[in-house]
Amino acid sequence: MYKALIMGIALLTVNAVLFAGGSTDSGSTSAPAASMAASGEYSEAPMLAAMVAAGELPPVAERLPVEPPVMEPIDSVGTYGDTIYVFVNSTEPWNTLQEETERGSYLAYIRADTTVVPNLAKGFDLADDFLSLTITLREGAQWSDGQPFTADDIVFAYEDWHFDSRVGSGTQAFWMNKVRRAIKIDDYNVRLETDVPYPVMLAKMGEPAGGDWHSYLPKHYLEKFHIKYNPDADALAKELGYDSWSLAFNAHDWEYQNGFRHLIDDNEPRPTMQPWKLIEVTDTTKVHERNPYFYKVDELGQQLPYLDRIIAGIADMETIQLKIIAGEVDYDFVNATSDNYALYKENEAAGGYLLHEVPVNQIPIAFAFNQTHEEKGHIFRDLRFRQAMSLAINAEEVLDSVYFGLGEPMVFPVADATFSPPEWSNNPMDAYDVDEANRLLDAVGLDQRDGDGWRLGEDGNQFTITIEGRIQGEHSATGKSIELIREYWRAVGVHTEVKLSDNALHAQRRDGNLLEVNVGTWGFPSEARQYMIDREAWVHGSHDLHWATAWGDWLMAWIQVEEGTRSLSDYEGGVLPGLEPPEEFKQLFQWGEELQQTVLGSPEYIETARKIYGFHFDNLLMQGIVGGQPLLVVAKDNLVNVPKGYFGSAAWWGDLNIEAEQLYFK
Amino acid sequence: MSTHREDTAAGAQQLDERYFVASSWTLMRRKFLRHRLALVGGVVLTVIYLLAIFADFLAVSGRDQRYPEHLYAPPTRVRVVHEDGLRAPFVYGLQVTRDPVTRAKVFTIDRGQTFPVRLLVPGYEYRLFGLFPARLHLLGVDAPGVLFPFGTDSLGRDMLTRVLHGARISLSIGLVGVALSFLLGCLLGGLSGFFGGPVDMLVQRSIEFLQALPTIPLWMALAAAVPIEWPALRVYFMITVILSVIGWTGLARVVRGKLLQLRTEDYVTAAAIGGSTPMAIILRHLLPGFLSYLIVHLTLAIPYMILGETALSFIGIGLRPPVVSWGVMLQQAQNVRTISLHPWLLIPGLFVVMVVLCFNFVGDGLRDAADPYRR
Amino acid sequence: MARYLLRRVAYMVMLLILLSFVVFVIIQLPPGDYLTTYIATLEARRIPITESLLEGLREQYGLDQPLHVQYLKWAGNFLRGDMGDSFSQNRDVVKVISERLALSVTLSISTLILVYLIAVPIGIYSATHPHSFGDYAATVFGFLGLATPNFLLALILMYLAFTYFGWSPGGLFSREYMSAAWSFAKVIDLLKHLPIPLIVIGTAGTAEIIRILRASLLDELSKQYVITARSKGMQEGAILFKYPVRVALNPIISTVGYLLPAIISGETLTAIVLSLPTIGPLLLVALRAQDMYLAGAIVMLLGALILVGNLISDLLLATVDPRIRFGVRAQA
Repeated sequence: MYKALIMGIALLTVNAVLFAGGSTDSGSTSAPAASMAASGEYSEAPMLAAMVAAGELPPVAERLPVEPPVMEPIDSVGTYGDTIYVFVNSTEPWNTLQEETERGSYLAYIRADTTVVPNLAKGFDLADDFLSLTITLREGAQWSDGQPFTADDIVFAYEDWHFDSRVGSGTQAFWMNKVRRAIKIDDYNVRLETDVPYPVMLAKMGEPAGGDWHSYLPKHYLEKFHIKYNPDADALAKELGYDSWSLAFNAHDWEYQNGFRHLIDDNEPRPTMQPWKLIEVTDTTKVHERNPYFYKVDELGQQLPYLDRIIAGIADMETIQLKIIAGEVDYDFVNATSDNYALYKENEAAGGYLLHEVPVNQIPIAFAFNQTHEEKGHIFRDLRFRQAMSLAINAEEVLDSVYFGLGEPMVFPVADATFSPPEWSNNPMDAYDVDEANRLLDAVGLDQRDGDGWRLGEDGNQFTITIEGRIQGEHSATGKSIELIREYWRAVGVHTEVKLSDNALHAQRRDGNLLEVNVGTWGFPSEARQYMIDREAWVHGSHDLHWATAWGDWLMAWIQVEEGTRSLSDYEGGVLPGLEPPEEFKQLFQWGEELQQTVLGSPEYIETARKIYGFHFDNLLMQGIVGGQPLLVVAKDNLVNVPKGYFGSAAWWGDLNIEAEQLYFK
Repeated sequence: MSTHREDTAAGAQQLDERYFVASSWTLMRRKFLRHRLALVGGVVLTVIYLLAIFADFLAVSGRDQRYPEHLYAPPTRVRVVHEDGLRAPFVYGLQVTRDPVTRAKVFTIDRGQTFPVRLLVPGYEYRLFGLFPARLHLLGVDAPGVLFPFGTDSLGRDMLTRVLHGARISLSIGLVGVALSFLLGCLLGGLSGFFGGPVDMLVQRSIEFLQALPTIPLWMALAAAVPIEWPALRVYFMITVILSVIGWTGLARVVRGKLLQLRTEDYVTAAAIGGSTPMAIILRHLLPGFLSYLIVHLTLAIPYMILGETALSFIGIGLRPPVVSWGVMLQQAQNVRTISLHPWLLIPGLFVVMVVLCFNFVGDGLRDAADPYRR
Repeated sequence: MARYLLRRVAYMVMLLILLSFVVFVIIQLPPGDYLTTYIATLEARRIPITESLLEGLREQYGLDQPLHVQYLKWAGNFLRGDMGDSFSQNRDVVKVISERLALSVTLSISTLILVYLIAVPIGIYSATHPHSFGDYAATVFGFLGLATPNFLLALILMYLAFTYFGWSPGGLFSREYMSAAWSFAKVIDLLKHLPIPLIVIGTAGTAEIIRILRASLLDELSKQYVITARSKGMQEGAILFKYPVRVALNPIISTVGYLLPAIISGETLTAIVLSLPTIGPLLLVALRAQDMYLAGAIVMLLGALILVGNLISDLLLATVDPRIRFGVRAQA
């Protein structure tokens, strides 16, 4: 029944898309669009029309799929032209508006209400036993170099990248880790198969796992680098300056730390399915130009995107802030920070931009006590201690001083627990109660104090805890919040230090189980996201917020042995690494596994999810402070179709920029 | 700086009797006092160091005390004119609201409420010179009035208080760093200059080598070598070491250059013939000869250390909160919104500029004064 | 002279070898290597990276080998003129550096000219009017640049220039010209962006030159030949510029050698704040990412320039002032 529901919605949407593309509908407001699309009368940007006229490009109808997806406008249907200017911190791709231009074009979208809407793919069929997912592609869709996009590209991604341990990962980390086979049915149908029920794979079509460089790869471009298709791949690699074919393969596939600059330099850009393609990268700029083969149209049958060009300037963070208030930044949601709220508002009129507050319910910061810490773990494992530490925090002051009073106290770090019982929204731990915190700390056994009022541990020495986190930008709100937390904890006699280190050092300390209190950003904890991406956070801690490092090591190894992807002898000394967790935590992990075998929103899902979230609600393993912050988006006041809320894919933080192809200037 | 030696007879100015009989220190003092910038610099520096020493007494509130209602409060104006005429210094009450659009706190003066500024008010307890418990503070107003002479920062902490406490760290980093440089520089420069030959070669080449290392990678590597578990105080010490690792080389050069010049003087030869040990010659005969140069050089080295501390903070490898130093405060103020909306957070920058300027002027004055050939 | 030069060059080569070793160690000193930094970055963005791939990269970069082997490989290639590839950019280090070299040098040389244009007149004025109000004012002005932390000054000037003159903040071009082809308008736009970097970087250098010039010029002015010239009724200006100023400029010439590396690296912190694509910020980024070959090449380049600069300044000093023997450096 629930399955039918999900599929029903999905199919409905597929139908809607097909409908718009394939038949007439006199009753709809978009009738002209539908008829225009139906008659195959597509229009294109003037710059492309000129190329067609010059014979450099096939006509637009031949470049679009037979049934192109029709995009519903956020505000209105647009007009062609213009360059959009954005500013970023480095040439790395994931900082920018171009997130989509380098990684997006997911096969599907997952909406905030968890429905799955086809996008690049035409439709999906999740088998009743959840053991396979059939993906139907759009006939006639093409890569940016005009080559057809087919089932081969998906099979290639799985069989020759993910499953080939010479270039990809056997287990694919946390992405689609239960998929075992990808089978081509025909040119436009492909089936992903698993050995255990894995319904989450449908929803995952709407996150990066369903996008370029995960779900599909340009086979026609990459196969020459793969030894399976080109016996001389090693020689080719050497010629290009790589030690082996696998490195050459990866350098041409996904290794775009520098925004594929080496490929642009070598004049062999990788084809893409994105609205724009990268044409130039320098130390100061990055330029994208429209992809003439982009597969989407608007309601009038105009091929998207509207904007001709994206020019991203590379500048220092504060220069970018200055450029924002100067009105030089057309669109920004990555560098616009809540700290600068007043600054943006003050200059809104002068800079000719609008500050949009997109209600995405961010939980900006959370902390966790490492339950497996060697020396202090026994205190951290005491629930009363964790409760005391939350009660000692004055969340109202944090809101007031750091977030301009926007949001609310939120210790339990799920803002959108759609399926959670109402009592969870009224958390007693959200309170600020120093007396109770002190009482609990006394009860834990930290009742002795030294002359300066610091609590003493059992050994009679000062009880000191260290908050550790990654450096998150120099002047971040996170930094201020951490400074406040330290002051609150000191106020109840717990001597607290703060250490922020860079990514590498932090990872090293985390993996060494050295962290005491881990502080991290938590982001947009929507239900869909928790289900698909942050699952491991709830069972042993995420990369950003580890609450039981050593248990996590043990559990991750254990599940691989259980599933037969590894055996005990693969591990040193034939024993599982890390520490064996207590039964209740093994149970929690099991629930996590079970959750993946349910469909989001189904009764089974709700039942299991409540067990997991309930366990966390009761045990405060991850402790938030405040929540409900909006995401700030700066957009020029004449920029149309700026997102007003979660859309595109609700699961992924960068996905606010999805559907950037319909941005245009009035 | 100047390598030019002059004839003692240089200068046709008239030389009065007192000039010839005055001791060299008297001469130096007299010449220093004539250098007006140096004099002003010296006075200002003395005042700032005194401020740092008496930070707790002068502070209006505790170092980490927050006024959550008064985030980014602008500097409080102390007034003497009220509606009813002149009064003893007082401040008006503040009303705090949130701007509905910018969501920033807005502070409006409530002329209905006045709070006299009181002298020597009891406040939080501290230890004067780290020894004597005390609770008197120079200035204060009665609650609920507030007095923030330099405004407050993003968490509502009094900036004056933090500038004063920051001065302790920033100013002492200069001194400690210079002391370390001094030890290293004198020792190695002295050996190098006195013995010459292979020792000189070795020291000179190592100095060249250290100077050939670009500063930033050296800083970063040394900072990375500071273990994360170290307490703030030890990190502070490491930072000064980092700064002086580069600082000593310049000093060693000065010492050596001066020694090379002096060791050929007749009186040194005489001492050597007279059977003095090398150490005795260095200490008794040579050191006094260039002590003044050392002092000059040290004075001029301190401001570089102070600037260095702020630069380290800027790259993110210097001191970190909760330590309060000018560098840390500036790092937090190094952004557009501060300049645009809360410029008073840049006050530590003014102090840095002032202190560095003053040290330079004092150094210049000392140099002029120490030159025995110039009047 | 030739023997001295030969000896110095030999020492320089030895120092460079030592430098290469120390540079290598310094870059390795922070925990982890490029790949651990890289993985952590990827991980923070939830991008999967596989063990086999890592091993491949580790091999390609030679990070799987013991430190001394890595060093020998690097140093060996270096001698053959191959500085390796930048890990993070996947491109030849020479290419990466040379892209920024032209701008760095242009910027630094223009700054240098500006520094002399400001500092020399102030220095001469101060020395000819010692202890006057003008002397003090000029000195305070000259030293302000030295006393203000550059990164702060840069941000404040950028902000003020934007607020009061509407100048486009940061970088070298307005956004319209960022990726446009060179044209007259683009050159004009570039010129509009130069004043702030020039002022910020320039003011920092003036103080030292004012100080040197003032001191040595004061020395010269009290010498016999000046007095003689004066007593013969020569005009003050003619006296001043005929000999004393020229002699007093000598110590400054010796600092030119020192400036070589500064010309290349520029003011790193200023360049960061102003978003200038010069070598300095590149070095900082490379060091942070532990992009070994890139950072190594830059540091070696700067180190070599410092050594060459020292040699030049020694030679200049010895040539200009015969009292200084070769082999003994005068205090700078």
